Amino acid sequence: MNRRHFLKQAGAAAAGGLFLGGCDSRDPYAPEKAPVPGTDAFHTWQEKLVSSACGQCPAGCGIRVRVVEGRAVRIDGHPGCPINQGGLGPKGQSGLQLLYHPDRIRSPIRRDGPRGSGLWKPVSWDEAIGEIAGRLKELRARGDSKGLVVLDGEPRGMMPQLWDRFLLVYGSPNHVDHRSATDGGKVLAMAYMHGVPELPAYDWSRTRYVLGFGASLFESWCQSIHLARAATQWRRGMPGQRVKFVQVSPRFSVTAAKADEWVPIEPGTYGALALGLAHVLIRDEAYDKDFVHDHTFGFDDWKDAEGRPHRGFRDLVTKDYPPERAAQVTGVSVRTIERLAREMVDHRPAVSLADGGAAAATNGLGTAMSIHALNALLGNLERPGGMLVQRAAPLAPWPAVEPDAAAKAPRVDGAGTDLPLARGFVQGLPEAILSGKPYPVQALLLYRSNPVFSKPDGRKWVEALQKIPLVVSFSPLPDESTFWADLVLPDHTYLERWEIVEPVPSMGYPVLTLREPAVKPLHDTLASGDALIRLARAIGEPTAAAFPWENYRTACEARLKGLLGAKNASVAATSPGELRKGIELAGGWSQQPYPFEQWDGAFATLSKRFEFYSRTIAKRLAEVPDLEKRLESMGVATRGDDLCLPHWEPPRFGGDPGEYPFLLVAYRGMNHAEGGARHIPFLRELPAAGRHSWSEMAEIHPDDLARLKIKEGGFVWVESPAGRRRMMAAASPGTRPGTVGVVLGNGAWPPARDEQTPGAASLLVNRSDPLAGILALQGTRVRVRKDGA
Amino acid sequence: MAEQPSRRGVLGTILSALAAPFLLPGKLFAALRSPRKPKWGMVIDLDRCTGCQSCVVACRVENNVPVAGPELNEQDRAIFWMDMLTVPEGKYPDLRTQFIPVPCNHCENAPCVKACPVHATYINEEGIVAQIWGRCIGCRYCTTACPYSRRYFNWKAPVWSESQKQYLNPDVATRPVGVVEKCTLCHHRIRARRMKARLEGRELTDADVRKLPACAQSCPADAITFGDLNDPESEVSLLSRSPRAFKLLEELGTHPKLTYLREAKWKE
Repeated sequence: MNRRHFLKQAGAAAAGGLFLGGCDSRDPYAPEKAPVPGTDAFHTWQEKLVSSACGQCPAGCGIRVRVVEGRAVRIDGHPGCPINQGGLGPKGQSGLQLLYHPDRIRSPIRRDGPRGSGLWKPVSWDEAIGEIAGRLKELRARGDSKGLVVLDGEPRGMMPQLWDRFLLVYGSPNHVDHRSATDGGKVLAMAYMHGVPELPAYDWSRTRYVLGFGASLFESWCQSIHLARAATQWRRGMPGQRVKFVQVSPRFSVTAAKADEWVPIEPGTYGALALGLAHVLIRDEAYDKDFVHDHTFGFDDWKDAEGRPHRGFRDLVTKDYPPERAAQVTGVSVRTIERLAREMVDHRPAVSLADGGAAAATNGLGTAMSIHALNALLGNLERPGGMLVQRAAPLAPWPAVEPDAAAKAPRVDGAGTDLPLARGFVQGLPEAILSGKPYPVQALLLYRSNPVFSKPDGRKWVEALQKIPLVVSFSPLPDESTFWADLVLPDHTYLERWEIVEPVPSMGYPVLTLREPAVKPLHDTLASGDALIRLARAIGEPTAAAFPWENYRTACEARLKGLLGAKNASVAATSPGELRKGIELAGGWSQQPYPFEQWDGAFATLSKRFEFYSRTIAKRLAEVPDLEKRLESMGVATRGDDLCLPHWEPPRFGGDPGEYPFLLVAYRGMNHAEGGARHIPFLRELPAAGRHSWSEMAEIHPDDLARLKIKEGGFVWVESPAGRRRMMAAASPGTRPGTVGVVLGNGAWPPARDEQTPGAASLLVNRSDPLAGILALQGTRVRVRKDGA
Repeated sequence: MAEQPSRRGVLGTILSALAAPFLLPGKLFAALRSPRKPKWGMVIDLDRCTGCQSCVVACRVENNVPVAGPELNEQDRAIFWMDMLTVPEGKYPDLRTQFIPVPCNHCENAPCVKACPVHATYINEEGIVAQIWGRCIGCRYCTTACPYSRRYFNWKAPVWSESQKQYLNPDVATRPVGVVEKCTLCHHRIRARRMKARLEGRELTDADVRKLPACAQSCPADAITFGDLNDPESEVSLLSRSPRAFKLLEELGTHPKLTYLREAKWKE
């Protein structure tokens, strides 16, 4: 033993502070048990830090996992990762409770009784995959391949791309994601105005003014951890300067409390406020005229090729949205509207942000477009401090595949057909499955999805699942939807698998993080990427040829090669090994700076400009037969050119106002955002939620509680036309009088099978933007009744 | 599973650790008995804090604080060494809510220390208000004395499932039923870092400790700063002199070593 080695050991022993020599059974003074439960096996002093990427939300923060003798004991943020720079959110911190969750499904299981009986039998991976492959092969041979639906809850990264590839070759158009129930509005506004169907990115560090429309930046924004860092910069990063952050929302949320100013507003009227602000900017000629002239389309009235006149944005806003009207609709005073508009102009670059929740109403698309249009008026698009389009990392593409003709069939959820402007319509699936229209669903794969709990119409989902001949779940934990599956192929947790992580858009420039297993798989589980590759192989031709990789990791590694020798990359590497080491060390891969003001190719719309007037919407609507009748039957009030422009119409709510006097404000909180974390005790017991944090709360204004003679902490039934749920009444001064705040994603654990209203989402009347399919989270009226009364 | 060392190896490690002070070169030995003692303090910037409660979870994971569960939590008996206080004021729509992360204030004039009849709690030579769990008789005088309610009594023995035992931090002992526990400013991390620094032949620097406690390391908003108040140039010292600085219940004369920086709002 040389001195250095000796010193290291001495240091480690002293630093650890635990002397476990007492574990020797022959030692007469040995304690009966180790002082820390679990440490009985901690005696080799083998310790390492594994660089990886968090998977508790789609932000993709870099992490370092401290692994002592094969057990992960600590997760901290990776200091080098450009997203979180060493910090980590509460969800990331509690990842170990997911990894070591006692309820994890320990091997593939097959149902051993009728559907939903809860009787399961362990099977081998080969058997499970073989069985699914057999069924899917048969389906395809019958010509029913389009009857396969993949419900995919992962918004970005390798897995959604693998599913796409699989379905393309297998022959099904039905890769359904959850966007229409989460961020749908924002994505669609980007798709129709920029031509890029992706969440926007922002140059947070150079912004001078932020106007958030219900933007829950510090709670459930997809990049809340990065936003916490960015806000630090806004507030304390520039001596003598402060970025103003104004939050507009009906509910006084954590973000509203932390904003510089909070502007309360009537629910569902964000769009009218945005258009009112646009009116002031245009009236005062304070908008960025050069930008609007050079890079936008549809601002002024225009004539098409056939000489028909069309309305421009200026005309709509000038005529329809004077501040007086906006004030009347939104409840925000004219003075405030004028002041906010002036502040934005005076503090450029200023950005206007919508949240997924803000656009989640029956007027969702128009609202999201209105909020977004302000960015164009302020001329901040593609400019420093403004709104950007997320650039993709130059990953090497997988070899091209030959698509099956059936992959071009109309989608079963009606996106693009019944809903001409939608890109997906997950909340419409149960209806489509039960009615068998436009065609029957023959097999459903649930990947990171638990629709029975997280989507409206939970019971209808249960019925629908029972109607499908084959339901497979990839969930690592039991849940309300997995109950009704035929087979469960449990996924690894994110601390056990190898993959490339593409974080949801944030800073614009490309960022990747690498997820590497911190520990060996605890159970007989398999990364779903591996399961999919094996499934594709087992099906045989044509899918086998499209998945030539040995496993998921090699499939990812094949793509990483594209990063070798990339310009301006944070990790310069010439070999794959060097690249991996470099990414581990740096906590991520990025390519800075963002290419600002590259106008060629900035907008992928039909006009190659930013479109106030979306020609794609016009084109889609022109293809709808009997448009007028359809609009009438769907209850759309707007007509003509206004449908293609940022516009606002009153939101529609499910439930009669007399019978259901309250408006339901369903929102996502810090701990339950993006799918819920009911199974993680640390997140259910956060102190800010108070001592009733384990219960589901109905947040009600104290005056309303007094009027209803309900005591705080008492149980109430929250009843909507869709269902009722027993919750604890919480006196919440930040809840707008006349509304009931309910956090989505909370609920019982272990999951209950027979709940009539499986999750708070089942209180929602299943309404959506009729053209764009955006779920109306703000679209339900409820009443509150004392339990037992 | 990691490779198992021989018993001899383990014993050797322990013996060498015990013998280390006698075998170290003179300079390093002197360093181990460094005369200048730090006084640890913390600054929490409420203007940076976004109320995410990452510090709360980070602390519980690091220090093996058990989850209380619905029943104990309803009885207000959940343990949060790092707590998040929410202070709502006003009436809709004129509202204000403050989110204040509160660990132990590590008072210089600590009421809890005075109240403890068995000297289970004391201020150690580096300023940490420490608790000797084995000496605590569970009288809870200290929990009553603490004006910040930063001391927690273990009403129940912690229950760890087999799977939970896997992720317990091997550097921190768990506490039995019937004793009071509290924030230690992650002193196990300080010790480990100091040992590492000394093995490199140097003392702890401000950069070493700035984000050393689990809460400070985890904070995504960079709101928590830790360091030596005896060093006038350390970041905590500089920040505690900020015009925004205040302490909780300053008027009680407890002299907390935890300083807050007031939340600011945008002004034209």
